[in-house]
Amino acid sequence: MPFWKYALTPILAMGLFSPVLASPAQNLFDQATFIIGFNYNGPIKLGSFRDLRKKYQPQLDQACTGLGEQCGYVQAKGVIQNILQTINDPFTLLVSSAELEDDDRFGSGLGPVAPRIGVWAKETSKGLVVTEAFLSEPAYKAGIRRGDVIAQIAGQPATLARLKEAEASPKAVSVQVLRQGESRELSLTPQAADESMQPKLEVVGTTAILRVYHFYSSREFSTARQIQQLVAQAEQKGAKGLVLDLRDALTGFDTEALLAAGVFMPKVGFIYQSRFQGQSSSQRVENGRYFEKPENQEEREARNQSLPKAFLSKLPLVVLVNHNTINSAEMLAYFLQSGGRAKVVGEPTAGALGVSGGAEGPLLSGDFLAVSSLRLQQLDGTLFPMRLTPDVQISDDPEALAAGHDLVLDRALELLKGGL
Amino acid sequence: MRKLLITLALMVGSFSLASPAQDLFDQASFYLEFYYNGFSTVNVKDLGSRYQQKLEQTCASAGENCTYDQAVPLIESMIEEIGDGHTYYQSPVDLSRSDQSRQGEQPSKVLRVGLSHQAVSGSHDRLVMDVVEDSPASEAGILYGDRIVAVNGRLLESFSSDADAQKFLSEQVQSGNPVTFTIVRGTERQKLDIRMVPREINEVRLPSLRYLPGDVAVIHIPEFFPEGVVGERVHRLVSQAKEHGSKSMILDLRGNPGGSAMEALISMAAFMDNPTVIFTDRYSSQRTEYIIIGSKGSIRNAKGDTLTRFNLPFASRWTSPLAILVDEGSASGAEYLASALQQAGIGKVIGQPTFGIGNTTTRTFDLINGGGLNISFNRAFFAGGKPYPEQVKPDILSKLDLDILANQGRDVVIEQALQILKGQSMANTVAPLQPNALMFSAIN
Repeated sequence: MPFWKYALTPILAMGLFSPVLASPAQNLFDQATFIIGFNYNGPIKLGSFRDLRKKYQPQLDQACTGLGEQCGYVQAKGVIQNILQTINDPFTLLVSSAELEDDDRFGSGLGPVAPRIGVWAKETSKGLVVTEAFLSEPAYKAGIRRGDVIAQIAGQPATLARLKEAEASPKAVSVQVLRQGESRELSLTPQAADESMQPKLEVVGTTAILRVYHFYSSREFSTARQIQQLVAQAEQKGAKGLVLDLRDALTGFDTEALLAAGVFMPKVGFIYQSRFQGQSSSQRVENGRYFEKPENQEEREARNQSLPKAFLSKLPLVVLVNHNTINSAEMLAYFLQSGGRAKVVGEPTAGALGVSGGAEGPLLSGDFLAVSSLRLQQLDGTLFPMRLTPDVQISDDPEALAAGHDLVLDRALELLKGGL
Repeated sequence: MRKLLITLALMVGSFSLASPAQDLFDQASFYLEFYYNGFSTVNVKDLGSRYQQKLEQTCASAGENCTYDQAVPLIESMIEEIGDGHTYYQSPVDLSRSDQSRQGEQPSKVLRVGLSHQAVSGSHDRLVMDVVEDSPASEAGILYGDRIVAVNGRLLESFSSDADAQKFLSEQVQSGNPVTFTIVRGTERQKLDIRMVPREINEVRLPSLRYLPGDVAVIHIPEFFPEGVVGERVHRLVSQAKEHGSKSMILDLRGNPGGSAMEALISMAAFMDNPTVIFTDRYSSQRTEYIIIGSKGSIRNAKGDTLTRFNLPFASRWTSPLAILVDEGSASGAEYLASALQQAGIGKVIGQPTFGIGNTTTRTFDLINGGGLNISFNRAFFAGGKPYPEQVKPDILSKLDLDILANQGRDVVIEQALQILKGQSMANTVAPLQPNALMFSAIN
């Protein structure tokens, strides 16, 4: 009796043509581990996607205990985050489709889609120190400037979390703003930003300060082209030295960073090293023209990348960076530093200098995965470091900024005055 | 100590795996296993394991230098076992050609007059099966069904084999000099000399319109590849046929291998109300509904949010009698169109059962060797949730007789369509005529 019962099992199993339904968690895990394991080409030894699956499947099984086929994307995402934490590279991340939508908007010269008051700020014991108030956004229009302190939001001590909460509501919010001891009450209504976060030029005496916030572009808009135009403007206005401020700058397209470097250097380039045969390429810019040479192919000009005009600036140059300066922004600073074109002042950068890649997906959960699938090299084959080390190391000091002193900028101005 | 052992094991593991061939195979087998959503009953996972073993044998001597090209034949035969026409490999060259045809630009790279032809049994003459639009052949007026009997004065019959005759014809076209074909045409077997100057042509195929006696319009859709072009052109041809005063229409989808689902959908709107296709993927994470109402189209996701809207300012609508011709070469988009019309009860479908991939769509995944892996990604459903059929079964079976076409200039399938259309348009007023008499009178 037990005999045929056992015998029946394999026969049934063979008859099952359609694969057994896996849980959503298992599917997402299988997809993400492949995308990471197959594409990752960053500095750590990760092993193949098979190794990854072998190593992390037990974690998934544990997270799914008792859930069976109902085990969902949330459980798998937890395990994926663990994998990403092991990789510990600020480039290799889960990216939501909303974030990608914002990147798209940045590329068109617009601000993010969600309403906001339009500041970048650092949390301190005295409140939020504004490091940037974006032109044309509510905070700037109400008179808030870099160095101001948002002390209270709706009567409560100001924190980043509280600001985010206030921005999520369409209603006006009252904020208390301090400027060197003087207090003001302002009412701000969060708004979705139209044109915003485009490079900004300020010329004080013979010094120009150029702030760049990201390196995205589209058919209608190019960060690099704006940088080129603003640097030319600075020269026309009589600037004798330039500070390029990349502190807190987001990433964007490496092509834009390279074109921006080409505003200051007659020739500049790098190599994308892929882990797959035939997929590497070298990229270079000369006189505003963008050239690409895929492995085993002829070099060709990428005309849709090239800037419409050539312009080379010989102004003495200092670049400012901090620990948030990431990826394409780090690359621009590094092109200028390693080419001997600029001194870099500030903090060691975010640590995604030597890698790149695209957003892979969509995953089943609707998210995307950015994976360090390309390693960057100098044209002579030297690997880029993962992090840029400034020539002059000095930390941002939000409290000094609130007191009216930008110590990092001051140091840069001294360098320019001293003829570098 | 233990740590060291683990490191060694990992290193050995990744060494045996790392070759371009293995990378390419991994990518292809993952995509297949993860995304395949067709109706094949083959266990894709087992297939992958089996071919992994074959790959290891193939790469045994080359090791980590085993190339992409060594993996490609294995990937191709793995896919062949799945046996699904919407799942196939494309080499880098093929992939770039299909990108070109989607964009509506596919240069022939060689001199052509722009026709395809095939052997005639019992003769070395060639029978014209297809004429490319806007080519020297179409400009010179060569027609489907013309029989080529001589090239530059030399009778094809004078060659000792079909191959020699075909070779001579090709050489004359490739010479770059003007070429003259002698053809025999139609039921009257009219003999004509037609002079053409071969040139590089665009091989992308576009819908065309011609008229048959009896106020019959024939719209031929050879493929649905050129995006943003085919559907619009079908509407424009329908409106031309209406202006011309055509009373009935033949929609010829024979040999149409498909192309863009969107172009097929837009084409549906020229013949029926509210055409709809619902696509689901394997994980139901990207369910989308394509629908056209009047001159407005939209794509909606599972939640009912509109992802894209598109306008058909050119929209025209055929409402008179219609016959749809299909054969075993009608596939994919052609099957969608024929199924939608058949399901809606618009027109009779005449011909042969179709190729049989009318219920899925394919998606191209780029591979690291520059090639592409096309995988049956979506399944297709009508508005009410009923699946599109795999294969279109004609209402009236009819098979092209090549001998009759070659020797008498008569396409028996077209004749049958004409007969049915005539029956439809006269059904209310006139008793049916003798079938034989109709067949002859219809073609003249």
